[in-house]
Amino acid sequence: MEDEKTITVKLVFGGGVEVLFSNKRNQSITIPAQAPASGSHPSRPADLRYLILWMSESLLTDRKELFVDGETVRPGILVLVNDTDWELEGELDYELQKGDEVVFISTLHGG
Amino acid sequence: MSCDAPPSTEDLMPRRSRYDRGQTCIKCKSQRGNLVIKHTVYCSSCLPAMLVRKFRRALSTSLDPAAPSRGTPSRTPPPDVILGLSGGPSSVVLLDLVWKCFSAQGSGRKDERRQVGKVRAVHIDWSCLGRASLVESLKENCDHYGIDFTVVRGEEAFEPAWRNAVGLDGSAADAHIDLSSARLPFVPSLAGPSDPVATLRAHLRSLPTPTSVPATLHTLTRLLLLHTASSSDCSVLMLGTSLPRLSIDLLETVAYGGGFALGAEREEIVRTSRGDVKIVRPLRDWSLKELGWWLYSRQLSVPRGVNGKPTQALAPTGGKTIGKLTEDFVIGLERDYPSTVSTISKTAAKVVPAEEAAYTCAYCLRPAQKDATRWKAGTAIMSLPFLITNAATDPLTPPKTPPLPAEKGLADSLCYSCYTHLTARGGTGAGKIPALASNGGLVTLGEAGMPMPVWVQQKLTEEEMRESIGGFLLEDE
Amino acid sequence: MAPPRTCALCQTARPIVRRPKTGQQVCKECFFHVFETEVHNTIMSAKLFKPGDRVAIGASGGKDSTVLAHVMKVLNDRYDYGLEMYLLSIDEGITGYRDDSLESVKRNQQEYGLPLKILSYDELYGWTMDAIVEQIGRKNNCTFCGVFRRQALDRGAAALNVDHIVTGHNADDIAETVLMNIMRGDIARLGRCTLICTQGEDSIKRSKPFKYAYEKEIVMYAYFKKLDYFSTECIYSPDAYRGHARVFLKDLEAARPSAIIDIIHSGEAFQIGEAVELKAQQTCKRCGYMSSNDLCKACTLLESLEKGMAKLATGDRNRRRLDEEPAPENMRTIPMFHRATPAEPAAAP
Repeated sequence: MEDEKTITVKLVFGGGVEVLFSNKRNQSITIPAQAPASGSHPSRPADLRYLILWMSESLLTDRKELFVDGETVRPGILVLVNDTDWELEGELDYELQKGDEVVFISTLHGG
Repeated sequence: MSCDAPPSTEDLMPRRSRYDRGQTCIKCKSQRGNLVIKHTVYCSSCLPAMLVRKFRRALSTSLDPAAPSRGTPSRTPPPDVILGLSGGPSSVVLLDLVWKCFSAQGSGRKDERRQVGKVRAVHIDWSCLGRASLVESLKENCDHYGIDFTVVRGEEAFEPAWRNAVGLDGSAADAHIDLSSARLPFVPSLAGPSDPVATLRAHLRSLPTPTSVPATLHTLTRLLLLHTASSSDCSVLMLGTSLPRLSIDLLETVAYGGGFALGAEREEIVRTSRGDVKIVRPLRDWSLKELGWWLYSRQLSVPRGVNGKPTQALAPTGGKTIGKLTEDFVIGLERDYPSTVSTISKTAAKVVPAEEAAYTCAYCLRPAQKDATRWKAGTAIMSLPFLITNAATDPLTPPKTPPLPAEKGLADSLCYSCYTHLTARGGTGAGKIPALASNGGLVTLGEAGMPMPVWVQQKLTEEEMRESIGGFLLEDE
Repeated sequence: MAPPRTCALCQTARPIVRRPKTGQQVCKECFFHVFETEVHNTIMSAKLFKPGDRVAIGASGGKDSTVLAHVMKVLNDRYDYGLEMYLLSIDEGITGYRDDSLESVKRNQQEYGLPLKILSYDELYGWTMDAIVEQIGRKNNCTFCGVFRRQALDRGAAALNVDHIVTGHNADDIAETVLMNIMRGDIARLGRCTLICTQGEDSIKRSKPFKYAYEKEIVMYAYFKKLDYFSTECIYSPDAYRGHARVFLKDLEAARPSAIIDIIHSGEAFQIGEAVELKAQQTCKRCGYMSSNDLCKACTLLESLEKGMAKLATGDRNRRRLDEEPAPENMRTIPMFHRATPAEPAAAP
């Protein structure tokens, strides 16, 4: 299934955000290895910016506003790449590698 | 005109890079970091201890501000604690931390475990308003930790039997008020005993602005928790309020005119009929990232999904409530100006009420200012009584009558923000909350007045009592 | 056929507006009446004036100060306040903004017959805002303008020998400032910003009679009274952070109109805890204006402009670098501030 034109990564959801993704906490997905040009961003190897766009178009059925905000995730969602804060990895510009695990944890609601 | 106030350098708050020094953990200085918290980098081995310390420190400050930070165990027996669980992420983290720090199976030292006595948990269930019930999953969660779990249904706030169950004085009749008069006079209830869910709906439906509905549910939840705590002889009610949530609540309180009780939003002691209950928020220094990390690293599942807010079903059509606006504003700010969220909380810790409290609000049990409700009525002229009485004289004479009608009413025993929720009109989607409009039950408003929760009662003042029994008193006592 | 609607206040006339503050539908005459009476009530309950007071109205030519001048004149005549009133305008030197708005102040002067004093940044500091922005860019210029305007107003008032300046700050401005000060943790300003009247030692009283007047109602009043005002925003736009607070406040008002007055009430209901220390006030060693340091803010900012280092001028850390820099020849400074005490009145202008 995976060849040079696609890349497979593991997605993990927690903190309640999984209800937006068919209530599955783990998913393995395969996306194009090359992100098409979008907005002001030229075509480039798939990065987190592209992954989030792809997820909102292909995985989210409704209530997208509870996950995405513009080109990034909604404030209050923690993003980890291979157990590490995406802020240490370049955030949206991080280039996905084969077998990466990307975690999305929602923390906003509650009290 | 706003540019007249000289801005300071803080106005400009430039965006900084996400972390200050290198990518190495600041604690062990050897591992590559995994999480950035307030510009500081921590690795996943050093994070848990740091977060547990933070939790314990906030809790000690709240429970026993005078006690030395460690060592010497307190001589007084530790307080019994009740956890208020909403089912959201932070309440799941609270439950896990309490277990980890205070149970025999957890990782706390023996002397540290003695900080609290018996621990139990309570959840206020609003499924009567159309929200998915979290009772089953929360019960499972608590069973897993071996913590006693109680459910209180939201509509019990309007259930006379519950009033007796939690030890409130049950002699007075249920109070109904007339919203059409600014003093909110008590009116006799024409309707007979009715279903508490219908009464709750009638209460919410009578609120004059949609933005009051979630605010009122928040207050009802707080009071149900408090009375449950005191009836189970717990002197401490622990809530999982995180830092951004606290900042949201604080700004919301300001927007409701509740500045007088601002400090109470961080920490408060409430006098109930069965004793004092202290509300503490040991997660109040935790950012959303820290919460998220704890959820992830401890593999905790959150019963309430991101679209499961209790107010969701009660959102007004065509606009946002003050609560939602404040949440969006604060969370948006956190992204661009990360220090603002903690600054709001610190500011609230530094201010104190401008005067002595005159009484306790009959609705929310928070301290209230003298004449605050009259102040409110005085800032906007709502009627021109003098035009009728002084018609012959100069119609431009300012009104000499007090702005509120002379009759007595609930307004005299409310705080400013509860008064505002009951009286302020207009605004986004006024009166348009679909979930409340339909399926409203049998109570007809107008004739019966607005029903009040069971703890709000028509109390006669001492003076009025003397007046009514005056003829029978033999001598001046 | 439905009965014709009538004004919620007089119950007779046809309503023409829904009052932003209360949501009531009222007629034009009742709107004027309650708007003016509420300002009068604010003035009376705060005991702002006594007969014979000399009062300067800070006049920018914008809506707030134009309506303020009008309402002050109406109330002074109607209720016999016995005030001697002046118009005081500050010319910041912003081409295409202040020069135009000063024209509308001059028209107001004609209409109300009040004496007008104009004081410019150029004559007081030797710098116009245009020249300042040319040196420092648009980023920090509001800091300069705010500090300079505050002192200019006091100096203009001293020149007019008035006791009191009234400004057009409205309820929206005050509510916004309460939010800003909470968000920035500016405890000292948070304690002060809801006061209707402030007075530094040795300084002139400043009051805000429109403290409880909604911006929307001020605009409505100007519209129905056909008052002549200048309605363009300053061309050097204010900072983004305040912009956030302003948008938030307008959203809150839309959700519940009383939110503005409720926020002001919150601001009045708390005070600064005892543990928070405030800096003691002294007078500036160079110009004699009140200050919390050796040099007042205006003198510090002016020195940085004169040394061409104005981009550094904000923040304590840069103060030392500024001190080390030698002063240019003929460095301009602000003239000494002299304030006549009530016991020894200065000659009338």
